[in-house]
Amino acid sequence: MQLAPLPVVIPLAVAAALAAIGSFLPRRVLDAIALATSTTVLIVCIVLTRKSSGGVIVYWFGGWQPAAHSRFPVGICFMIDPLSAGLASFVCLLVLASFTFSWSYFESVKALYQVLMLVFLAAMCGLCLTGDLFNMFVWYELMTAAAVALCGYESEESQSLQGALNFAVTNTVGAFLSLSGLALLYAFTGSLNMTELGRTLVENPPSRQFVLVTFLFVIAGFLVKAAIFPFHFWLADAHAVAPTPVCILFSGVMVELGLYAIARIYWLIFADVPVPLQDAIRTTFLIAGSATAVLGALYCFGQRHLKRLLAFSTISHVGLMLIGFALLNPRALTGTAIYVIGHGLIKAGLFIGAGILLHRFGTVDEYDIRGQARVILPIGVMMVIGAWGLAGLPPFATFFGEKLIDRVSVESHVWWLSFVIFIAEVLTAGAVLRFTARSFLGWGTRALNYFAWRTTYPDGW
Amino acid sequence: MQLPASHAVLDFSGYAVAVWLFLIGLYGIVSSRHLVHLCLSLTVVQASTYVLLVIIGYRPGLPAPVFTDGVQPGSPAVDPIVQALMLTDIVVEATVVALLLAITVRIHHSAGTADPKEVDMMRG
Amino acid sequence: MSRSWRLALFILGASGIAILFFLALRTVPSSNGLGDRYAQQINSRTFPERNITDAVTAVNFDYRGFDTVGEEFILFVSVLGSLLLLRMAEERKEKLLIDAAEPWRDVGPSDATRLWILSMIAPKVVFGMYIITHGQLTPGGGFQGGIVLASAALILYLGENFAVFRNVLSRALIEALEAAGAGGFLLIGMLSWFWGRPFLTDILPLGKAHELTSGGTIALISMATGLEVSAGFILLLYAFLQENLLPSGEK
Repeated sequence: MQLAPLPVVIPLAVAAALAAIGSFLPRRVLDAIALATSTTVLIVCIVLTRKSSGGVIVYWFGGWQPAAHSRFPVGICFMIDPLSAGLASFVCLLVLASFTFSWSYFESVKALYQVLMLVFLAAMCGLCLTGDLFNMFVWYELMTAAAVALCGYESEESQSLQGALNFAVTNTVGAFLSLSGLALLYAFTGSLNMTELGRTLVENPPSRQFVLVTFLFVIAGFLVKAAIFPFHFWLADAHAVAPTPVCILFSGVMVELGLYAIARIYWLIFADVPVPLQDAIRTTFLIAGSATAVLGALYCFGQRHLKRLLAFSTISHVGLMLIGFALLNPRALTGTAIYVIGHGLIKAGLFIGAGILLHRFGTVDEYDIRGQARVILPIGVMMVIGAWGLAGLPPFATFFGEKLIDRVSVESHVWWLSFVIFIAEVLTAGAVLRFTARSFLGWGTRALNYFAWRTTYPDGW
Repeated sequence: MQLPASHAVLDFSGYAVAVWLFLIGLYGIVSSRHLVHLCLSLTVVQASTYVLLVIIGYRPGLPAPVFTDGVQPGSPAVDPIVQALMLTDIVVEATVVALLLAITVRIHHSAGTADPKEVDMMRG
Repeated sequence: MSRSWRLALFILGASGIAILFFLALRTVPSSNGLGDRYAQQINSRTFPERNITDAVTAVNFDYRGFDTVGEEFILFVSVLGSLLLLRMAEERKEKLLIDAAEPWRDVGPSDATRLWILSMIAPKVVFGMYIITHGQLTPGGGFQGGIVLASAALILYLGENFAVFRNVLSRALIEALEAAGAGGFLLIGMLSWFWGRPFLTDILPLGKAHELTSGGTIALISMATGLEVSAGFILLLYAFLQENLLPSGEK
């Protein structure tokens, strides 16, 4: 199973090489190298997905397999199963799409852009595949650092970089909350390997409050990354600041990886502990997810700036994904995974549309564009199709994912979830449709204070 | 193992320091009036977690995990894992704070001020 | 969000965090020896398995070396990001730096200070290299030694002015060294991968204990890390110092 370290090592190695010699290479060569690297990693991840469907692949770095007699994990391992490798493949796919889009999007590109994106890719793959809790924290930090650096890359609308600072500070504070939780868990169990942690907690169950509190602390950082209410306020600003190809990744995978980390931590460490925490977790996260979904959708509808609009719709949809996780059911998890893929692809398409609008008109404010976009009507058609997908209608993957989640929620007698899902989807799809109508067809009022409340409550609060 | 009372007090005060640092750093971030002050408050938050890790790794009466100068290899020592985790983190987070300070400098250039409230209000 | 609301929310959240934390703490001290397992394993194994007397370095560069790879790249990316953010337009930069080299621009320190500082540079460099290369024997290693080396560059600036700093330390070379350090770590890991063993296995001969050559790849990784950390921080110094050199008329 020598392929296992490659999804992380290859992008990092190429990034280091590009950082050293990139300023001597012409731009097209840089782009080509970036595309080739992401394609290679994509192929590796797909192969890993196929191979792991026969059984979880465990790969020990440094050759530190646990000794037969003590069974204690002394090193770091990758635990590759179809879900993690599949998600890593999806990450590679979106990065590939992002590189393809930026092929002709940026006017001039220094090697720094490819370097940062490749490191970002490596960090996301590492987060997906790892089986060690501190290793997860390291990849989380790398993701944040690379993402913040990318936010500063040719910030397009001469926005102040306040959004990037907000992003960095909130995510770092969250990361250190997670690290504190990790410290507590380590103090009790003496291990950092997730399977070993799970096993120790099962064999030596601590008090219920310890388990609950540690769980909350450890996932705090990932809740911030997943932009769950009330930690959602950084995402819209980060999207507004970041260049469009980067937004594809932010909305499509970065936020979803926060959720994936929560699911991974829960199922590997906390799921089997003989302590009654299922109900507490389920209730808390169903409520948090629903609040995120509804609030995100409401804010989304009040936006006139397309990138912010799409950012809030991401927040809303991640709320739906959290609901899918919170049902604590394997079928709901499958539905969520399908939903993630569908949503990521749709968002990528919508952001590409936003990028084209920005490139063409210099703004993505629907009042400023107002009908001028008629000249690029096919883009409008694509955005309508995207809205169709956001609404969770067939034949998009979002439909199948959402149906699965819905069915499980009905079986679990949580009736109001269907209502929440409905509201979220209708409002977010409606917002995109309204934007499209106003920008491409010129419909709607001219009034500048359309939503007066938006000026009273700045974005996110 | 029942620790003598003095150890328990020492232990507790260590954890109290960690929590206090975290909260005061968080307060600094939330109520900051200057972006550089905000970045440095973030450093304080980071420091709190390092203190927590060190406290957790400490074993009363044992030497450091360096097996020279009389300390025999294999003899009990303080926890090296948390020290290793912390060590790289301190250096690396310093560079992350440098990144934030670079962002602060840019914000100052374009907004003319480093007060978070005023920068907020100038945002579109 | 208004100030008092934010403060109220903060107090709520902060008390919540504190309460939760102390609730969890009540369980921790009474753990039944479980918390020591990892530490005991490492402490008892690092000398027999790797001939290393500093367990912390062994953990950093061998047992949990893969974490250190990630951390190194966080440093790499943050430095790159800072350089990206603080770069100025090329023409403006050249003009400003020429200005900065003018003797009348920079008052500089007194001669006594200069003498003392400049004579301290060489000991610092030696000390930094000592710490980097002796990481596997005594507390130290690439991270700590790299910082000491970077501080040697800093006091060069303090003792002289930026023009001298710029002439002594060529920026392109330092950028290349930083990438070399990061790539070097990966390369050492790949060595074992190419040999058919898992990534980052220590496959070099382990040498004699208490010597510089003990630990196999650990010594090499330590040096690569030291290179990267020192080069990274020197680049940060470059970026931030350059930023400071706006003539006051331009502010």
